[in-house]
Amino acid sequence: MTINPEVKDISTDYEYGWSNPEKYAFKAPRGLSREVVEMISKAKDEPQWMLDFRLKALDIFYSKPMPTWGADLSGLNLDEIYYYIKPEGMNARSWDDVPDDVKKTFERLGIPEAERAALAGVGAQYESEMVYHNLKEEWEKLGVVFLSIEDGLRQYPDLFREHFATIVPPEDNKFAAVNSAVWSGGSFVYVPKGVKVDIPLQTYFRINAESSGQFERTLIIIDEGAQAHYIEGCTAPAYNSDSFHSGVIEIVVKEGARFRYSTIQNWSHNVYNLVTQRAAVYGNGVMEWVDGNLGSKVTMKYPACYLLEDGARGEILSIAMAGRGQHQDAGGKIVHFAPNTSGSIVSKSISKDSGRSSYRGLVKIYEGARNAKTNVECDALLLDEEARTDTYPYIEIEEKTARVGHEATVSKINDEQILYLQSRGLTGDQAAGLIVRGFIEPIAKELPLEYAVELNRLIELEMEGSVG
Amino acid sequence: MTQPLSDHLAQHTGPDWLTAKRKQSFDLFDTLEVPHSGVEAWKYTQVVIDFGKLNPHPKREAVHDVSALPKSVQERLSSTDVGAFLVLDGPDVVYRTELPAELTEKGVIFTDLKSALEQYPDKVQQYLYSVVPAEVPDDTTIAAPGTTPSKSPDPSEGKFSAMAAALWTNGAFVYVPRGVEVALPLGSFRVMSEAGTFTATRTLVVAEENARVTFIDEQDSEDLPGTYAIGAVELVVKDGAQLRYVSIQNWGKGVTHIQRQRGDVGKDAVLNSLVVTMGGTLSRTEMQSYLRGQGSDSEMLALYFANEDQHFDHYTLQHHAAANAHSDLLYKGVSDDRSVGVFSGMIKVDLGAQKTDAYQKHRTLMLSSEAQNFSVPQLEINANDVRCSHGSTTGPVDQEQLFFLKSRGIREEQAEKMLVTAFLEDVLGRVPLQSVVKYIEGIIAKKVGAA
Repeated sequence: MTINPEVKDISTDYEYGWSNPEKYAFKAPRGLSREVVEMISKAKDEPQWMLDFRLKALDIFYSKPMPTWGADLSGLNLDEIYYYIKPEGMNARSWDDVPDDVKKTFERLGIPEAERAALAGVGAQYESEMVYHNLKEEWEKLGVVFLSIEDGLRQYPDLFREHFATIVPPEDNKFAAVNSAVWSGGSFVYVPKGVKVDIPLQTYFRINAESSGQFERTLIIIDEGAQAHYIEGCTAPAYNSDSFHSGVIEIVVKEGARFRYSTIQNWSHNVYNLVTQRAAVYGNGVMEWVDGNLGSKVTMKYPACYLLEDGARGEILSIAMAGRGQHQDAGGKIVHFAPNTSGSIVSKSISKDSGRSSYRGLVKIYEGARNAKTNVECDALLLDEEARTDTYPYIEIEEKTARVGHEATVSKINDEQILYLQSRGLTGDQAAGLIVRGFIEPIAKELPLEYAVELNRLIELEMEGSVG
Repeated sequence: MTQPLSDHLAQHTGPDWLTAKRKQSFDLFDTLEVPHSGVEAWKYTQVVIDFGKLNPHPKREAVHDVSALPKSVQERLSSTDVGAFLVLDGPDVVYRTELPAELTEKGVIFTDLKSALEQYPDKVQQYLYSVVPAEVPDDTTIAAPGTTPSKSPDPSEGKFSAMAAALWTNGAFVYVPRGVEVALPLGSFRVMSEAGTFTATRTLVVAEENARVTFIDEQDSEDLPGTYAIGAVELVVKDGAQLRYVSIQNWGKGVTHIQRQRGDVGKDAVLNSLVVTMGGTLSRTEMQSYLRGQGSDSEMLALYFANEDQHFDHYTLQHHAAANAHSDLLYKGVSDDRSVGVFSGMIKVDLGAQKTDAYQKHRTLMLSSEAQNFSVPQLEINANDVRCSHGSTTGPVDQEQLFFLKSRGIREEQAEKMLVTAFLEDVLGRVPLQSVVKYIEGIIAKKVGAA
């Protein structure tokens, strides 16, 4: 992704905070109801089973209480949200067919340029629908499927139905239920046996309207021995009233396959970001989550690896940065169902200006998952006296041969390091930025170069004025 | 209202303030539910209890000779080196020894709470309920303005402390005046002897400024199906004082043990605690250090061995409310057979508690795949210039060590027992109380041998 030269400072002015005038094909009334759900289903011309599924999920949503743990959600007014906003122009394969202002949005975000330069395929979601989705021909020829989720349902109904909602059922949690009821947009990805997609696929999510909700649903199936890397990015305008993003990401990593899912979440500071992401990993498969949470007002997101067969491996790299008014409640889950499975969670968080970052995680080893191993490492960096960090790890062991370790440390920026760097001619901000970049380096180096640069730049912007 | 319990409440006598406090606590108890699995602090432990059928443990006659005490108590007393002790059977004291005269002369008080209410009413009124009140203490961390707040505790976490506050019958009272050091430990030995009953006890230890004292709180009984021991232990550690508290829970099978132990630690004061959990069927022991004063220090140690169908839950708190305080926690546990072990520990650092140095370590040894172990080591940090870290490890007996011992001709079963014993006794190396350590080693040996 290229760096937008107009950008100055997001600690006061979020750089993606502009918005377009609202021009929509369709906007559902505020709030959630059976009518809204039926409206969405009808607008998408769905099979009956999907409508039934949505309505059942709506009941589950109503029946579940708000979580009693995690972040403070008392400011989230679910009745004020627009649950479905359909933009003009739908799911083009060429940027020329995307409506002008929407296209401009993504141009400002650098998406088409990134697509040309470094990506195998790009999806772009604007409000509730994908407005663009394209996969380069060479990958299409190999049988790779990269579609909007709606097109996935239409074009691959059997494959879709075989996996949809099997990894994250609506019963899983209240926000998975609301997503199941009103889901719209997201990607459908299938990588055939043995195919190795060696450059990333990317989807970009943009909320534009005030008080809108975005409920994308992504289903990714990596067949035996295949490999792929998927990246999602997200931004929204900075409105006074809050928006609500609640995605569900389901991933199947079949035997011997390898998949990486990277997120650079940079929602504006008025977005409640409550996401359920989970991968089912089969024999000797490897799933990697790289999860960067920088934006949003409140994030609750714990990418999960369910290690279902012998030798499966899950890795979670989580990085969170919380500034004033933000709460990043992030982490990860590794659940061992089978023998010889292994996992690793590395979490790095940075808090400043009364921002709060929390690590929340689960390691669970079921009886019979012999010789399972997982290691968890959480490091928190506190930049000033008001910053806050928490660690809430849950370790549940039901197997004698399990080996689980968890370690967490908390530290502040070392004054001596700052002084040393200043003596070498760096300003206080530059010095602090350098130290923070060093702190997150183990995670940044796992990202493709363009994203690592972007991540570093975002952090640098957040660091401005943090050291006097 | 819970009928047999409210009758029980009516039987308590005492000063008006206490009667009012009991009544108030009982009303709270009556409105609260038993914590369910949705309450984070009780996520892994559910207590099944029918308050409507709960009868108080009958009162036992006081005896004047050790030989009239239950055999296990006699045995235990023969090897203790405590300077003075109380023996409680069920609700009340059945035997006691007096403090050496030199300590009494210095103003040290060691008696039971009921007697203390008559003899030292002001002191009791001043401190009772000050550390462990009826309701759950609100340890919500103090954060910077604008920070997303922490969740407050669930009121139901006060269910059993409210019960203990309303219905306590007796327990030890220790008071050590300013600057006085009590060299020998003081202790209470609690037994129960009637199945299908409950006891509620309360212990209050006050160490005034720069005082020094050790208190040992032991619980032991035969197997007693359907029996409940509900307790509260209040530890007041004033500026510069040092208090060492040891709790050894070795109830018989069938006993449900629920006890909140909490220390209020002043400036430059030190609270050392050791929690040993071996007995009972369901055990929930909370150990909380509230580090109120600058430069205060708390060492928190524990060891447990759960086997058969035992369910042990240890809940700990290191609450750093002041700057420059230090805390160090080490809990080690073994899970065997179908047992369940729970550790949830929390380090809290309030805004402004700079230079906090807090450490928390939980280690578990798994001996059986039917056993379950849940470990939740947590941090909530609101100050930046701190050193806070925690670690939790769970694993089987070290295979290399096992192999080494086997290569020396030791049978595998024996070798495993040696390693388990060494794993637990590691904690005891930090406890300078010879006789108690020896006693604990004896309990470990018995339990490991039976495993």
